[in-house]
Amino acid sequence: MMILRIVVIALASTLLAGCGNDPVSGDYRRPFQALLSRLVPGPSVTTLATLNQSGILTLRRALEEDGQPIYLVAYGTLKYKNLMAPYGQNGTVQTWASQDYETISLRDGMLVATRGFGGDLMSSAGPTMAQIRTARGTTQRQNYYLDGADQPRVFQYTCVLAPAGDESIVILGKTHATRKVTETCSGNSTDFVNEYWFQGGTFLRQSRQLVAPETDTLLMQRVID
Amino acid sequence: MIAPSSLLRPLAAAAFSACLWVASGLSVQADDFPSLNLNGITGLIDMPSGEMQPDGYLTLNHGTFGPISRNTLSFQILPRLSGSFRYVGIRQWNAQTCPPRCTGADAFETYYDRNFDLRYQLLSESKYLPSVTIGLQDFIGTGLSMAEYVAATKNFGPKLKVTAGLGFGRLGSYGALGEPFGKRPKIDFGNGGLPNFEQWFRGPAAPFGGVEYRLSDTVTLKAEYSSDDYLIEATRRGTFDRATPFNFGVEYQYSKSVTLGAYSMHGTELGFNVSIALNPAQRPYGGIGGPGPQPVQPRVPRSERPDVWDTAWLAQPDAKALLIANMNRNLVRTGLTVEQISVTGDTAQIRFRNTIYDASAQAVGRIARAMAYTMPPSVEVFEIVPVANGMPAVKLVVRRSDIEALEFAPDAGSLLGDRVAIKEAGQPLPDQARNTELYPRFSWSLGPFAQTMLFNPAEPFQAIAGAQLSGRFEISPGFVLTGSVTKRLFGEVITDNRKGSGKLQPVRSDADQYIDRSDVSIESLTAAWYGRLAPNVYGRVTAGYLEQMFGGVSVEVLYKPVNRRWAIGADVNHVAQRDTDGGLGFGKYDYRVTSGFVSGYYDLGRGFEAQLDVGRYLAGDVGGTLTLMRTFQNGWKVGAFATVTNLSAEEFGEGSFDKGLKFEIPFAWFSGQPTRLIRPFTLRPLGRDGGAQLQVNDRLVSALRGYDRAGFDDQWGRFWK
Repeated sequence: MMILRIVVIALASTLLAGCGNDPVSGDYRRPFQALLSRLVPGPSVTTLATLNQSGILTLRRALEEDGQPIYLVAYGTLKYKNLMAPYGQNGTVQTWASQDYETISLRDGMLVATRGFGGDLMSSAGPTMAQIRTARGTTQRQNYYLDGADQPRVFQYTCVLAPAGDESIVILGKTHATRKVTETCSGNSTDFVNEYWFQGGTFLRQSRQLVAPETDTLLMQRVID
Repeated sequence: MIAPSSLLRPLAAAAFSACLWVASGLSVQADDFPSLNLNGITGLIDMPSGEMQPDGYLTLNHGTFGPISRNTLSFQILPRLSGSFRYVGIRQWNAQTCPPRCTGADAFETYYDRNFDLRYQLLSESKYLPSVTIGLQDFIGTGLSMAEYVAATKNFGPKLKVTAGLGFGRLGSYGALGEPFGKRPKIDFGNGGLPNFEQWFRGPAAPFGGVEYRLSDTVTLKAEYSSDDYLIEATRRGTFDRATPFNFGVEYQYSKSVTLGAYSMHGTELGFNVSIALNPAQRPYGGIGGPGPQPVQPRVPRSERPDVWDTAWLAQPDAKALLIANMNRNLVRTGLTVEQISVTGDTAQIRFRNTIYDASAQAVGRIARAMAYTMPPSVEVFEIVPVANGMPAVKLVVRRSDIEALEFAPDAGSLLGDRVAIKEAGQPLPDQARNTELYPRFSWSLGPFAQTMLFNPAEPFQAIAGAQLSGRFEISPGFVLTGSVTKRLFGEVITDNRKGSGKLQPVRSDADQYIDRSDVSIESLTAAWYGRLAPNVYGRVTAGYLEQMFGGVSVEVLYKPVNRRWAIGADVNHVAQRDTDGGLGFGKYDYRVTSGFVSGYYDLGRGFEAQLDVGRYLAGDVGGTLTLMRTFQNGWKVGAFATVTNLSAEEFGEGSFDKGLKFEIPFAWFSGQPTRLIRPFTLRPLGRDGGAQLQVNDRLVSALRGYDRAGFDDQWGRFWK
């Protein structure tokens, strides 16, 4: 069977390890490794996700000693979990990056862009964090994406803000008392809910915000202030 | 026919990736699409239907029942037009005749045939009317599977689909109602390869039809009444017993791109089908992956720190060398390298090479960010010039304050796109410096290679595989020595004894001997020079062992205005045919020829481009090649070409003239990661000596690919990726 034979040869020629320093011809295996690593979660994901209680506390102590501000970011759709540190600042927008250069860009805690996740939020217009904190009224959102042909796609949403009570949350082994606000959005045939957990009335300790339609919201936990 | 060594990889990658999707169960296609039949066209089990695949879809199908196997590649050329290429094998072909008759058509144990189909949808389905498609099957050449039909399909609710049609030729061979358009003349196919107009829709016409019932989201039941009598296969040659016209089957949608089918055929045989559907227009994973960029570093406002805004740095002797070093340090994880920098007080021009990003806009976006991080605050205008093989390809002029202001603006892509100028590459600014660490530069790679030989009747799919060692020595910008040696480790080939007409030099028909005879083979060994000769004008000279079969000198000039939809070029090649042993000799054939073309390239819009080459081919014949490609913004190209030269059909031999299908498949589509790797892939039903062109690496059009307005427009959103 011709198709099967092609597959066998393909496997042979693709999986054989090559070497060299030519960036172009040496390059073609990398995408496949990336593809494979996407199917089989890489070590950085596994270690963070499988830390036991003492491991979590050890990590927290190390991060606190280091002192640099840290987010713990988890993206269920991609089975992604990683730490991010400040990477850049442009006006009121702060960009945080993991060691593998996935990045999130936040305006006062509001997610305005992501990079390095593939289906990234390219740019967006939405409410301010001050609006969210009021926990009432409606908001408008426009999210901009690139599709599989690199063409821009815009999604529009109308959202309703509502208080969701007090909640005690645990972030990397430490408990925080928070007040939760939900933002329930609908439009463009997809619906989603963003969630915000404020500590001490104003400090955004944790949030879940939409990156792309039909995926889990991105969990962002502020570990070190 | 023998394919160049790069032939296998795209198809292989397609099949390979399909396997991974199967393995991972990831959903790769968004849309629901009608099923394919055993012929690999939209239809029931063996009969066609009135439906079409979604626009742009490419499908691979393997269908088999009893002694008959078919491998089909179909492409939805336009929403209403599809084309297919099929390779059919019929086993037991001479089982009842040989012995005693074992010559001519009876010489084959398995008879192989190539088919081309075209289908046009006259009517798409509406509330009351069915979809109606008119089709030509195997309409070129020997016509063993030749048929014409009109088929109508109507959906009744989401589960039931009914098809009825009227067939001619093969599809009019059982249960005919009469001959509405007169007798069907006997085919005189001559050397084959030409359409058989005379036969179309003539002769007996017979009805066919069937139903499809969707049992669940993944399982469909099918039943059909076939109007194909299998006169040759069943009655004349007895390869199987056609007991009834009824076929039944069940299909299972394994994943959104893979469908499996099992059937009961004509009461006596079992049938199986595997189809893979790909949508070239959309990468299966959506947005491209890869590490995120460094954020834009905005400048300190002049009002706050006027001192850092002054231009005293211009007088610093090592300023440009430092800037190059800082840029390259910043770019180290992007795969981009600065080749040259030139500056004035408020403008800086960076010339860089891009070995990674399939989208030119993404490469430019990364350079712009690195410049925002590196350049002194007084520099407001960024001139960004990608360099391909030493040739400055195009110039983008970007204002630094726009990048700073728009990085997080809603719809930043469109907003910035309106403010960027795309210009001819031009000259560097007066005060310039080169990256002295870049040249001379040696790079090498050792990896696997595979080479295929298709459609030899003795063994239709043959391949060899082994190791390939390649080296590249860049002496100065645009001046490069390259070489590539292969060592065969696996596979053997049976050479094809159906040779050309004998009147022509075997410039391609001996290609199998090059595979057969060579164990270690020097694929290429060349010295090449590339340069920008004048505004929009580029030149190339390549000398040495240019390809597996020819060596010599190749000279090319291309005029390609960056803001136009067309380009025009010319090339002249004086070459000699190499020995088949993969060595350095030319003695075996003692054949020299001067070949050359004037080539026009035109972007027709709406995703189509055309190329016309007029000139002299390798066998000395004179004529033209027209290539028409459907192009997708992410770099996929699918098309066809045909060459007509002053050779008569008789002189050309089987197939009458050279023609085939062409594919350019970007690896980034499969991987979802940026890579410039694109494998061109040509599928010729027959490889003959007429209309053969030299295959030189890195022709100017491919070297400059993507570095023009259309290339940036297609993927502009990637600037901010």
